Amino acid sequence: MTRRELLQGTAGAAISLPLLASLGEKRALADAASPPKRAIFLYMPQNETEDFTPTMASGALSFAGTYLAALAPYAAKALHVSNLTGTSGHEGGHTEWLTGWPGSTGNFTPAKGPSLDQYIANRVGTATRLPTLGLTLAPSYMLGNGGEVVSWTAQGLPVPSLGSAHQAFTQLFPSANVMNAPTGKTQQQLQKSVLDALISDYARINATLGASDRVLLDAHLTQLRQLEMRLASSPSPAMCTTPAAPAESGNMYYPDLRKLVRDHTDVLVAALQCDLTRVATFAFGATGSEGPYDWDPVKVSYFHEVAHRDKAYTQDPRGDHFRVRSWYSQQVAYLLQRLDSIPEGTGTLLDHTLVAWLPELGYYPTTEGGSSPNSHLRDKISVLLFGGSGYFKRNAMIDAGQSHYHNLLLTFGQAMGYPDLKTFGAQGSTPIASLLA
Amino acid sequence: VGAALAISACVGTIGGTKSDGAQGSAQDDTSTPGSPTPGTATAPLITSDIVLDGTTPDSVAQAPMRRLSNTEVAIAFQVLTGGTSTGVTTLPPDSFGYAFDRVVQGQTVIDRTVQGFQSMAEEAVQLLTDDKLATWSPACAVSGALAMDGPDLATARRPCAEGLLTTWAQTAYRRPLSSDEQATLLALYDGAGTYRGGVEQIIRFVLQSPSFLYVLEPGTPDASHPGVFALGDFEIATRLSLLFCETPPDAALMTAAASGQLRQPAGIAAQAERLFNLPCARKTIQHFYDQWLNLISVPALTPDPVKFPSFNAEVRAGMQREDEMFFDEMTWTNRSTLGNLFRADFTYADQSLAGLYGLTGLGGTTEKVGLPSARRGFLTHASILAITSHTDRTSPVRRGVFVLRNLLCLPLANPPQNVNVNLPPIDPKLTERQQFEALTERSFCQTCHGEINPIGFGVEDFDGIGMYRTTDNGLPVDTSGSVPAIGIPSFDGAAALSVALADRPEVELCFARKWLRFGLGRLEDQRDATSLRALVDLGRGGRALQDVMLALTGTYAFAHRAPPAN
Repeated sequence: MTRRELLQGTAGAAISLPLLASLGEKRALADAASPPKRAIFLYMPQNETEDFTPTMASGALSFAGTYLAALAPYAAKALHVSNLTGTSGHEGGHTEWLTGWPGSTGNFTPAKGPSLDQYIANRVGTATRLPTLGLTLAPSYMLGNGGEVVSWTAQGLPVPSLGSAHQAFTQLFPSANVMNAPTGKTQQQLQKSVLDALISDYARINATLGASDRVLLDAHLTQLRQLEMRLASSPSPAMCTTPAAPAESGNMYYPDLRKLVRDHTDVLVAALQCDLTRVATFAFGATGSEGPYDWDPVKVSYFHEVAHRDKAYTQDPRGDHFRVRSWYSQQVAYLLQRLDSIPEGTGTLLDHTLVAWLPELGYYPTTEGGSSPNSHLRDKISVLLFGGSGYFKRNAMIDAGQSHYHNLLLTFGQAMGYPDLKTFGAQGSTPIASLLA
Repeated sequence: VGAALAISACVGTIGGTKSDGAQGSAQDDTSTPGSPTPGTATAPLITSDIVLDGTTPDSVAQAPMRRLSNTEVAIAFQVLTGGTSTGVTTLPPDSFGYAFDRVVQGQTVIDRTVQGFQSMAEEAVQLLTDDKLATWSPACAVSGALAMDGPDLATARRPCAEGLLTTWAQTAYRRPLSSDEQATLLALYDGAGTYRGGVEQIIRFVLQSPSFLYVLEPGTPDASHPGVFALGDFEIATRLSLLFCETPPDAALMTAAASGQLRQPAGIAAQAERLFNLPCARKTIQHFYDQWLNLISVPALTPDPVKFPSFNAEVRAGMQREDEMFFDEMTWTNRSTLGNLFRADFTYADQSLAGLYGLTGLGGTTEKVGLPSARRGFLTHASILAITSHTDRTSPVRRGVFVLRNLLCLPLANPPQNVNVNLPPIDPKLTERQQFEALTERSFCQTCHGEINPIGFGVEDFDGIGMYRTTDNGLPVDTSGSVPAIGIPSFDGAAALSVALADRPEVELCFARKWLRFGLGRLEDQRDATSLRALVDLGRGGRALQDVMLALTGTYAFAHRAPPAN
């Protein structure tokens, strides 16, 4: 029995149930014997405060009293890392977030690519249907702009995130192949001959252009080649049973964040479970995030303000910040719960997935330098990792001793199975060994 | 303690993220992607990066080959198939990072781009009918043929495939196909083995081909300008059509190109004028205004309902109708000058804006109405005042930055590194202006806020949804302002600012820059100075906006291209 037959067989019985139900009870589809490593990078707009700091109590990591409290069930699978250093400011934090290449001030474009998700995707190659999946809670009018984009190709081209769970779903689970199949030739043969001819045509034209002139055309040619390889190597759509599609979001200008975050999570979990991609970014908003988180009990209509302003603008900046971040934690808890509910190999899908909570800005206690969580500094950064069993320590707190944030990205890259990655970003040259299991 | 406080961090501090999104466009404007330009404390704070000194020789800024914008692809799909593509809606959104959706420096190509084009091509295949084919090429006019099948028919109907190469495919490529290109398509046709299958293969290929999706402009070397290429007939035709209609050239334009008419300035001017008067041009130029002035973010307006109970979806729609009608009427009917966009003492409103504007007697139809003296020109439109505000109050910073970036094209210098942005406690009983002055009074803030704040302070006579006011937070508003960057020493109120900007050369240059950027789909720089100067001089001579817009087609920049040096 080939792997594909096995997968189809596994998936064959399920039919269109709600996204959660159809997949939740099933085992992950990736090869159970040696599950692939996956990574989800969570982009958390704004900074963290002292309320991001867990404690160790009799050998157990505890989130009690912090805005991470909702994550308590997963504390045993968590690693808290503090005291990293990076590049300050929204531009610095946003652009180096996953690239390690801070842009110039005033510019939300990193100096270079690729971001780590794209690096990993290039290494994974065409083994999965999608190279990466990028999801965001940012409103539609931000999509594609520098302040929203967190993923960049090796050539430095932006990879806009998907703001619609429905669209993400459609990409992962395309409806039955729309190609007509005239008699005589199979769809694949026809598709392949068009792709071959297109590839020749792009190559012919690109050969007449200078390297800087054809930057888009080169990217286009690369994508066509990948499309062709995927067509050849893989994955017919039957690889995994298609779960039910989330409804199209209503107001894309200001999506219902509470619904969107769940829909995105369900799509993301399905993508990993079905091995349609192995690396994802999930942004909880664009740079600075505004929300609005205008429901009880959060009731913060303008989060960016809260993280900036002092008490003239919010009576309780620490409390407002706490409530928004608590909501974030609840959403991450849902993601972890989904991942952890799916058995895979000797553990769960969560065990084989690195889930990295990476803030846009730094760690800045409200008691430092003023009364409010208004810092844009990244001289101290704290992050929180989940999963990654066997390659990251768990149930632990590590002081990174001012190691550079880019070293953290390098550490991720190596831990994901690419020890030949020797540097990452502008300053990532020394992996942080203390994080490793 | 080190912090990089960028100008946009300054904006962010005060401006917040909605503006980061709305102004996201402008934020990327301050430097070239991928080439960091760290600020230096000694650099002049704010000066134009293009100077019309009259000594710059003709040249053009370098830029890579651009892709059609998503909008241009969608329109071309409609022209080519008569249908609407949903595949296009799955493309990654075009960035407004450089104000306009067609600027190559903001474009990208990723997996979803290529997949989106593939779905689009499949949709075109689905739309195929005998009747449609017949309209594409007379050689395809055989009814019922598509339904039949078999290798014999494929051979018999080959003239249809050949016919498409000089008709439909030519429209898509915006030029005649070379014999090699024709051979490629015929090989695909033959390879399919059936008539329908063969035609489908041609459609699939054409709609995903570089010649359709990219604005390829090889040109011929301009002997007098090393590195610059003069565009050929069909390249000029394509630029004209994309500039005014965001669509492939129509038959008349293709004929003009084929017959060499576009080699003469008069030939280009005649076609430009013809296109400019087509309905599609009105739509395209609406897109220009929407993107230049960031009106694309008006639909995203959601003011705080507690602070602004009078705002609702109807008001927002009224704002959109006002802008649309104002710019359309001003450009075409009124043959307005650029200055009059700033000076207009009238606007177009219906009853949805009556409360906001303090007007009476308005009905359901948008009509021309006189403005009270506190308002002049588009700068005092409720839309502009609202999109440059916070959800619950005004933002002098956003308003100041809007004027500097969108209307004056002045790059805001980068503030010094290592600035601590911890803000002092502020008395909430003060006006917005007073709170702001206190927040930014420290000298390091003043490096940028000294340029920004006085502009925004002067328009504090309008609240966060653009309603006139004389008090803020129970205190009288202070509307004294200035524009230090261009030497306007003082003004009082939004109307006065608008009128003061009306005839400024900086505004004229900025308009010319934005129009050239929009028209050519690339960033502009000093090398475009002679072309920009031609537009500025026309405007300064009192010519109408539409004359300035049309004049772009007569510039050196319009007829030439410079690929980036490797």
